[in-house]
Amino acid sequence: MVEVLSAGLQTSIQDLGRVGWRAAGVPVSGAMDRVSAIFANKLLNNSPRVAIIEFAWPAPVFQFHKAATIAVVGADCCPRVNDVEYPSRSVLSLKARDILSFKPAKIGFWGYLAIKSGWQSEVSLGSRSQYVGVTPRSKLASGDTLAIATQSELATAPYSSVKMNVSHFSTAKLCVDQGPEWDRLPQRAKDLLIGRPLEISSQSNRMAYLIKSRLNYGAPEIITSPVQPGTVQLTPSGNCIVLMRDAQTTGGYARVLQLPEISISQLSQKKLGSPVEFILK
Amino acid sequence: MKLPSVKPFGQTAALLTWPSEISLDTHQEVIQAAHFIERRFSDLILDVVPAYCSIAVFFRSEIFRGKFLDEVGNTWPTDYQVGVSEKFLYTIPVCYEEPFALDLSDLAKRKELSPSEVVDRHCAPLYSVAFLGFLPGFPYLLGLNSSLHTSRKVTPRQRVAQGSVGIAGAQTGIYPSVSPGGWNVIGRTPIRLFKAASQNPTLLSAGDRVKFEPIDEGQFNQIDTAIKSGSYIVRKEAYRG
Repeated sequence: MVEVLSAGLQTSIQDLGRVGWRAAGVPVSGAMDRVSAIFANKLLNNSPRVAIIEFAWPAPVFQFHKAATIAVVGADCCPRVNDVEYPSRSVLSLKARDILSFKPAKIGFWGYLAIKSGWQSEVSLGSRSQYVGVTPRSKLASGDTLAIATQSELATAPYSSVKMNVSHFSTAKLCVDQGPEWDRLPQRAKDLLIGRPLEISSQSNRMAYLIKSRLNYGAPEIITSPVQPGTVQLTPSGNCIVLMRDAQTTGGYARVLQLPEISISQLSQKKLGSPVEFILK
Repeated sequence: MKLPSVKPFGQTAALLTWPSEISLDTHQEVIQAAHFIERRFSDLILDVVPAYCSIAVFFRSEIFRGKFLDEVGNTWPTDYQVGVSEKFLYTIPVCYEEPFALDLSDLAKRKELSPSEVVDRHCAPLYSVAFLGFLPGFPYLLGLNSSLHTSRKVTPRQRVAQGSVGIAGAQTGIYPSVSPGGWNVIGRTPIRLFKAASQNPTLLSAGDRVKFEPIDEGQFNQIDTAIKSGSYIVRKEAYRG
């Protein structure tokens, strides 16, 4: 069992999301940075679909009551076991009673903690991804205890560090495709959205990242239509809402661009307040 | 059935669009098309999400999306009927009284109607469930009497109670769970519209019909108690539109 000594603010159990329930109005959810979540599981020979813990700053603190092999990837928040600090992006072998905490990340936003065989939490509608109203709880809380499978093969080395392409976390340029309402934009609006530095607002969360544009053009609303993670909506006030993993399934703002899967993961790792630039494919 | 416009939507989805309007006829075609796609292409798809005049189809892969785009034109049926007993008419009891009808008297005043006229006009139509969205299990209902069309509240509420029945523009709907929201709340139903723990989590699905039946607070509490003890069954009959 693993105990959550301190939950942090945005710590939740996620997997690759809940498919098959969008027509019921249920968001897909799942890890904000899929690339890192899949990588974390791969390091432990887990299936890519098993659950990981996703966190941001302030980071959670865990106490392990059983020995376990874990992987920490994503943002470069160095893991600390008791008082010993390890490099960011490591596979670690923990003993019973070890306390795991993290240092703040310099690059990247979301950290991922995978455990051999995956975190064992409630499955709701085919997924462990926590979401309000769908799973019993919407995120981890201090004092929660998490079941883990007894691990037959523990890593023998105390730790090994792994490499991940840093540009995934640092790139400001995001590839985008045209969205369904792109053609309705006047050319001057298109010119202000593409190939220019835009700022990620601090009003961003698992549902959507708000991007301030310099547009003095507000797109007219549309009849409520389907949307998906990565849909860039242009609001009547001229700002962009990039829908993320917990986005609702339909929306009424003009869908001007669509981020491909890789760009959603890359955007999720940008620090709030940092610049991004859309590159139309 | 006329083939709508079919275009890629991101890497692994397709978007089907009909002329941009909120109408029962267009929506009927959307429901038939969604039903056809779910059955004809079941091995390719993850989700089929209808709205008023469009459908998003989410595929297992980009390759499957390509296969769909290649085949959809040739397989599109000229005539298509959703089978009988696949869609239902549900009777939803609603208490249009205090303390549930937070915006009823305001809305009635704005519309120059009495509160009981608003209730009568809200209970008269057979609504069509256009689609579920906004919140898990939230039904967007088509068919609101035009004399009740009312814009959203200028300042949304931080907390709208589960079961609240509201009006926004030409739409009426039911909050399946507590949520912030800007719809004008005119009543509340004790019926549960979304249960995540169930195999079939939503009471309603797109294409079903809904009729509201006014109840008083005493009946509301009786039904609520019966639901909690598992002894209440929502009235439901087969419907062919």
